[in-house]
Amino acid sequence: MRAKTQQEWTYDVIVVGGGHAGCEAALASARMGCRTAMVALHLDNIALMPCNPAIGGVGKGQLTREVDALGGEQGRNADRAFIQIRMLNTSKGPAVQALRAQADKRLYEDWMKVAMSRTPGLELVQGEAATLDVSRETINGVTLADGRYLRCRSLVLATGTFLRAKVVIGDRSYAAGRVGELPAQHLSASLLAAGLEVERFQSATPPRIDGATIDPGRMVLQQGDTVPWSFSHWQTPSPRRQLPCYLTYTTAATHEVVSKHLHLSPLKSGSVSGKGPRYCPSIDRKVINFPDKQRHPVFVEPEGITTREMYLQGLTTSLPVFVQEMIIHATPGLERARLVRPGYAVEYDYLPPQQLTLSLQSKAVSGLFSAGQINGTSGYEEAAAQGLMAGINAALHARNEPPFVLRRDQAYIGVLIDDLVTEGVDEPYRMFTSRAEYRLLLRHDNAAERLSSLGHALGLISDEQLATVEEKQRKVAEYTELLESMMVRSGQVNAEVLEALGTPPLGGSQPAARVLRRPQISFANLVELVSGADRDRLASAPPEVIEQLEIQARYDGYIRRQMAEIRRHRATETLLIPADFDYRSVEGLTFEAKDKLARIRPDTLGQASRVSGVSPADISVLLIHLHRLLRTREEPAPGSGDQALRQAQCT
Amino acid sequence: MSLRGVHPDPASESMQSLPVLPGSLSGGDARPQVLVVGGGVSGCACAVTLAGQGVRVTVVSSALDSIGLPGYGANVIAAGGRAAIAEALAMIPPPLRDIWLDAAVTPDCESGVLAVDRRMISVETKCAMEQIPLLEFRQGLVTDLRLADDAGGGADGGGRGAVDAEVAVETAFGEVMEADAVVIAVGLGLGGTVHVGEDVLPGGRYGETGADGLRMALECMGAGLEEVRLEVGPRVGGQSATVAGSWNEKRGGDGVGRRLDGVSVDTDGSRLRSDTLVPEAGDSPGEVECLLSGAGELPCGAGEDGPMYSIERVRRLREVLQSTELLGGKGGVGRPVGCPTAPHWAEGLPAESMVMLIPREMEPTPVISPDGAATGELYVDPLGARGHELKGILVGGKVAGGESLIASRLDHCVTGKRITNLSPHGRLTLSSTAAPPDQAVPPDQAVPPDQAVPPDQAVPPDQAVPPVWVAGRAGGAGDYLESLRSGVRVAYDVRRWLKEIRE
Repeated sequence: MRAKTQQEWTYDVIVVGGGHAGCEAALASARMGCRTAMVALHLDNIALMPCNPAIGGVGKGQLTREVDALGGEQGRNADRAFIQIRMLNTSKGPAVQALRAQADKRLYEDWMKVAMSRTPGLELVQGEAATLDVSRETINGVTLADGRYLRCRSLVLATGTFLRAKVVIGDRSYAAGRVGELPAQHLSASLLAAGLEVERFQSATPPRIDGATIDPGRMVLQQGDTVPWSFSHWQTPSPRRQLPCYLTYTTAATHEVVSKHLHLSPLKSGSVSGKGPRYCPSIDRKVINFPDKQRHPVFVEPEGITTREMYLQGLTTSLPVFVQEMIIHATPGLERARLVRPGYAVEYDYLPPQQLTLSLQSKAVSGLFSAGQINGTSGYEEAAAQGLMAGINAALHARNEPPFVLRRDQAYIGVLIDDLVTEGVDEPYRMFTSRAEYRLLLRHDNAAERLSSLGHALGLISDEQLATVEEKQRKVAEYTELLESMMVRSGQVNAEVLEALGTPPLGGSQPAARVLRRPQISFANLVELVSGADRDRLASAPPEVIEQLEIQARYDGYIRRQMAEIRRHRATETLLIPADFDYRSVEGLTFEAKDKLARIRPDTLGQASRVSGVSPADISVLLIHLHRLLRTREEPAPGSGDQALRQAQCT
Repeated sequence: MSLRGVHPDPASESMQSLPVLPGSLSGGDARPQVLVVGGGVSGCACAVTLAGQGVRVTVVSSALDSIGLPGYGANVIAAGGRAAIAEALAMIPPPLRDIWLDAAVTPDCESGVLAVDRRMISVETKCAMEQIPLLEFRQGLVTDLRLADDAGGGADGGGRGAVDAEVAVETAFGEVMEADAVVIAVGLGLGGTVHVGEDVLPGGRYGETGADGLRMALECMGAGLEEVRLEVGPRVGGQSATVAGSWNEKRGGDGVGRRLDGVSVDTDGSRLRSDTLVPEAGDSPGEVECLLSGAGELPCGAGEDGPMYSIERVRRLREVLQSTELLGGKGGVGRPVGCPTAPHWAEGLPAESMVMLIPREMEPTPVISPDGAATGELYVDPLGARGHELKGILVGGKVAGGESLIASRLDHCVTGKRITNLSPHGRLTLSSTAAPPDQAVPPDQAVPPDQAVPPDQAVPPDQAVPPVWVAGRAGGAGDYLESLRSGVRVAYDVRRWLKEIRE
């Protein structure tokens, strides 16, 4: 109940939380023209990188590129703040290549704050969101703990690890969202009252040490790339000197320290009840789970240009502080390292994501969206991707427009959200390339080609930005055609060149496109194989076009196969299931399928097919039933919420 | 209660024989001589001064990301105007003094109000302090303070010499840290509560965990506590409320906050020196010089191939980073003198979003200052206005929706405890011989170090005088300048005590 005298403010969209999900959500909503407020517990702590100060990595880097291609901020912000950048997996195929950057965490925060402060229509409000105002299963607003009431049409929850959070080391714990910061104690009760299911997860961060006390001579130096990479499609980062990272490995001595003190770990003492991330395991868990492994890698990474603190990736632990020091000192290169921040675990409430539709909207409360760790994920990139999508959909909902959903064959973002809302999570979710069945299509290099026209339609990508993408596509098409028509002669000189490259001579003149398909031959080699005007034309191709031509030539067959598969499945994949569909009345469905489908209520038949316990036979039964239903019932009217998913075209 | 054996540190035995006197400084693993609990304005001033005088010091703070942060608003206010500000800043050692001067966003402090970029002070302070060889940071929320029962010392042997008392703190994570002396610099965190609108939060600074365990430990020891109240002004979003207030009208081109009386710029322009700092009596000139020149330029890296950090290195890195615009370009290390000083986020904003803020009852005019280059907020000093009474008045266009502005941060009131039974130098005095609260001398009125009576004449016997000092607001300082001064003053006293017990 609100007091009558209470002052209130009205917004289209309110975002609760100022981390990586909250920032993207608030920016997207405001940039789409919605009056937006971002409510954060502490406005000095916006876009914090409380764990690894890094953006990207395999699977995650693709997410950041996609966020950028859709007009999000994470890529641009990482470009502004990075102190080392590398392309990973350059020796492997393009599907698994990805950028990873170490960021100066202070600059990352500052730049994000600047970006937000300059965005018209976006207001930052410091306060604790205490009570959601929900009536008739619809969100109306939120009351802050300080008493202010903020009215809204849509609300995005991006609370990270703060809901009823406690931080843990050994058998000690206290209430905090991050060490030193107060948690959000009120909101969980309000979520429960609104009929949402709330569960506990756990995450952890490794210790930080003083970078001046490491011995680089005992570790492997890891420099950044000299190639001027950037996450963003829209700007070129200024060149800068990069800081090095170091690689070392744990030893038997390290493992012995851990084993000896395992009884002091919160894992054993039971002071942590939530489940932790399997894919980012603590050193405690690694020693338990892999007793035969002789060593585990430890990456020593700088946290910024204004701090000597370094992050120990791989040594996550919540063992007591004196054990942490012993673990560090038992690791080569870190014998004399001085601990600055002990590692710790944090336990928090999250909302099991099967309660969401594909637009990240709550099934129980209309207008309520959620993004980031509250949905059971981990990682800044996963958070940003969901934040962007939740912000977009919150804005669309506020304008009574149909939601924006990306399919699994369009983007990692589509894979991420489909995985979450369909399968749920039993541990903090992290993106991997292996989660995407069409990863040859969802590459780091083609994110803009895949998504920017969609971002443009939403108003998040400008005409000029779209024009640069279209120009590149035009160039690629032009060169593709050129390579088909250009002939490479089978002369003596060429035969020698080819032999030097380890590939047989041509049996006669061949189209350049065919020659480029040989795995030994790069575009640069091809330039050598032609002469005159042809050579000049090829030599003038821009690098980003060459990249596409090489990928096309090499993976053409696979890409075609994946495209055909997508086309074959699209009819069933995108077939909508009415929200009120009664699974129990469908004859021929197994009991398990009925039960699971009725609970999860998938938006599409494709999503239904990925619900665990639902067999292909069940899907066939459903397909027949849905077709029958469609004949008897009119198509759902566009704009009627999630039933009319905005089916964006995949180019 | 003895502290022996509490901390299962395998190295602790060898540590006890380490020579810890200034002048024979040992390697990086030694136990600190002094623990400074709290890394705010006073804690940093204290730690920097101590380390500058050859004392090994560890700052224990649960908020390592806001080290040195002026936590209660952007304005430094001194009744004496420019001269008072200059005098106070002149007293603090160079790395910090430079930072505060560089972070000034008003060139004119005649009125006694100097606005600083809080964020910049915090980032720069942490950066500069990390360069100081004897100074270390440790993240931890201190929940307990313990005195060894064998105070009076030397009984344990182990070659520690004339250390007459031991003290230790314990963190919420169960870590126990020992030292010869502890300085409590937790601001208003002792039993602190923050009142924001209808909400009451624990803590001495908004959003941060308080120091309640520490308050209880002090109470059990018999420390006198007295409630202090502090009003913190609201912030408004600068983008919808870029202000034409007094802070930017008088903005001139005279080198942005660099001309303070009593402080002069060295010929090379890189170092500031103070003419008014009074060297402590009895100290050799060399030690005073150490304080004056600071340790900011000392490299302390691992060698040619490893990370080697120094202010110089950071400066070079910033020059090549595009990001220089934000931190370096706006102030701090390497800031070009006379650069435009509009907050970073306000550059290029259209005139129609300019709004003049006035309080509902036109009087008095609020002091409004940018909260920092990157924050996008304007701080409204509580001397003049209260947040929810502010209204937007149109200057060139419309405020979004024409509605009243929402405060990005509400004005709030912090109540906390200050410790009353302190010596003039900020040392905790217990038992009946302690000065009653009304006779305690607030640090800002305390006699300068060189005129002070030696501790052994000023304070009761040892058992009533644990090696515990209190700096900053917890010791009664009322503003940033007093906090800075009190941190320095406490450091002098701790240093003198350490020297004495070794002689």
